[in-house]
Amino acid sequence: MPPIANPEILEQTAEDTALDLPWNVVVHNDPINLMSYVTMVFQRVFQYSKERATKHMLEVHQKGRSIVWSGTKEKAELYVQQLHSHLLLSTLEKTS
Amino acid sequence: MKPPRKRREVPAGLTLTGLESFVVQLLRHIPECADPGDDRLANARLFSPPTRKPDAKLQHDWSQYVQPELRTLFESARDTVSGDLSRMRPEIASGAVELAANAGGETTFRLVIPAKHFDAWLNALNQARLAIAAKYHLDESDITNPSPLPFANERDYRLFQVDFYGYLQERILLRLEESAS
Repeated sequence: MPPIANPEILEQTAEDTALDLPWNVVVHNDPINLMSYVTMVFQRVFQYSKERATKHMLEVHQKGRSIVWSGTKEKAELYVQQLHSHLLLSTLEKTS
Repeated sequence: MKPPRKRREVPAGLTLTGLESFVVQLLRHIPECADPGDDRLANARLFSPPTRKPDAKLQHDWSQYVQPELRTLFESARDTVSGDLSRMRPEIASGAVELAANAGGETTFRLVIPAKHFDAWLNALNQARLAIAAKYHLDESDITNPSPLPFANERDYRLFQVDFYGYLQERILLRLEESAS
């Protein structure tokens, strides 16, 4: 019978904690996409108000990127897919 | 008692009239320009990776399951636009067209974009703008400067094309916004 104290369990716990960290949906700047179009896409995909969508759009434009949503990996993947369907440059990132 | 829900207005379609042959040509090129074909740069832009960090499983799943869906969606948008463009008609009756042609006058065209096709148009126009920009290396400085007229080379023409398609996108977005307010 293996010993009760197994260091692998500790490693596994650390990994589980890491898995719980939220994922970010990041939109990157693209000079070709119109600002008004990007705003509309944020409103549609995330149901954001015009003000909030505009804030994220301006952040993308001025800072090069904006974290537009954070949460579970599955949902983040779905959002990135939707953003790609509107041809926005977007990626998912694990929160560090 | 629940308050009455405000019914979202169905936007009116967009009708473009007085289109001269140069503009008609630009419009007819949308589906062709939007199709990335085998162009590496255009494909890389239209089908961008889902992450900037190496993640072999995610990249594999993305190319296996998501990209084919995106490809189908983009093709469908191009098909819708092609259909509307095929219904673009001269603005005057056929007899008058002949007279105008004989007199050296130019026949103008009329294009109707039904409201239910707005999303497809926005998508196809965006595909075309992004694919052209990728193929011809158009960057931020090109886009923010006005298109050079007359065109000195093909790049100038492509820049004008990107501007013109952007103008059309703006018109559609404005119509959508009017209907939402």
